[in-house]
Amino acid sequence: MSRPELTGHASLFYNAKEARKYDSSSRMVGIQREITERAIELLKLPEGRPSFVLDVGCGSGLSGQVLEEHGHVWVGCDVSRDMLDMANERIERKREAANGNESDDDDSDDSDMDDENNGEENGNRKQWKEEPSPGDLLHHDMGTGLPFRPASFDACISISALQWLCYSNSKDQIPKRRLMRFFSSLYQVLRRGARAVLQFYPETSEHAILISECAAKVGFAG
Amino acid sequence: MRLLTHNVLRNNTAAAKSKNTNSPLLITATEIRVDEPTCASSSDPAQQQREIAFAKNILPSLDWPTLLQGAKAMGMESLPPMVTPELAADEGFLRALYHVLMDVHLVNGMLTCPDTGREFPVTDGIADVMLQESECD
Repeated sequence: MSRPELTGHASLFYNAKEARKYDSSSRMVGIQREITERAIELLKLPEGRPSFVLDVGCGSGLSGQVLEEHGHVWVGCDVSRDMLDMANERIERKREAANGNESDDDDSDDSDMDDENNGEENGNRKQWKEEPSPGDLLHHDMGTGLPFRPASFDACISISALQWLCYSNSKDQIPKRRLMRFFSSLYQVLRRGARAVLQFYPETSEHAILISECAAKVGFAG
Repeated sequence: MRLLTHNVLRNNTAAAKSKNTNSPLLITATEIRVDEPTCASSSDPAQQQREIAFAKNILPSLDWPTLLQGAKAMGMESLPPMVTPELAADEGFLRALYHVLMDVHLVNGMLTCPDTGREFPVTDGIADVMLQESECD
């Protein structure tokens, strides 16, 4: 099976059909969740308060969902409008569920039951299922640089997205240039001392080296 | 798109950067949605504390004039012209700030760069900030 990145632009690969497939494959969902959990651990964010996190290549919102479960506020960007539409659907459903609870007669009883179920599923971790999503979505190509003012975010995660920057999908796309734009803008939009955890699938060791070189060049350590 | 996101968003085309103003984008709203706090969040003290903590943490990094301008474009004129130390410590203010940042959504409309005129449409709450390679430096 060939890599998705070789078939063309990410937004072409993740069209509506692929987006739905990606989002409904439970194995895929499980893997992305695990990777995101681990990424959040590595971020070592302060306990007890929500952080403002940038999710690069947020796709259909799988990683965003995990960020929400940890109580964080996030902004996601992705080049595929179809994937973002799916993320939007998820957000809509949550909002409608929250409003649905409002219109029931016996609100407190329903909420209690939900809490109990959630407690059983997740052990001690509280599930804020009834709350509307604290995620916001942008249609954006990370290779053009992140469009935010300096020191905007407490942290950044990127799950299984960066490798797309290593391929050029049109005559005017130069991978190294796009990688440098991405990393230098990422460095700027993070608050001082903030962390970025970036998980990706390099096709070759050259790609892996290219990515880490660009990161180091703009000042990222570790 | 929330007002929090609008506050940090900038036009990063080469043309905009050459102006050296780092201006926020002007909002033209055709459809707005304001989420009212749900029963759950109103009565859950832990959720309230989280909201206050978030607002407190983000306040120093907010561009207040941008927030005023954005809120006004979205029909909200109740924010104070500046934040005093007393206000910054007031839990009622911080909760209201959280609501303005997180619950006021631009569903459909346009974001315009005041320096270059470049437009970024917003549809279904998603802002389109896709740039061509030729617009970048």
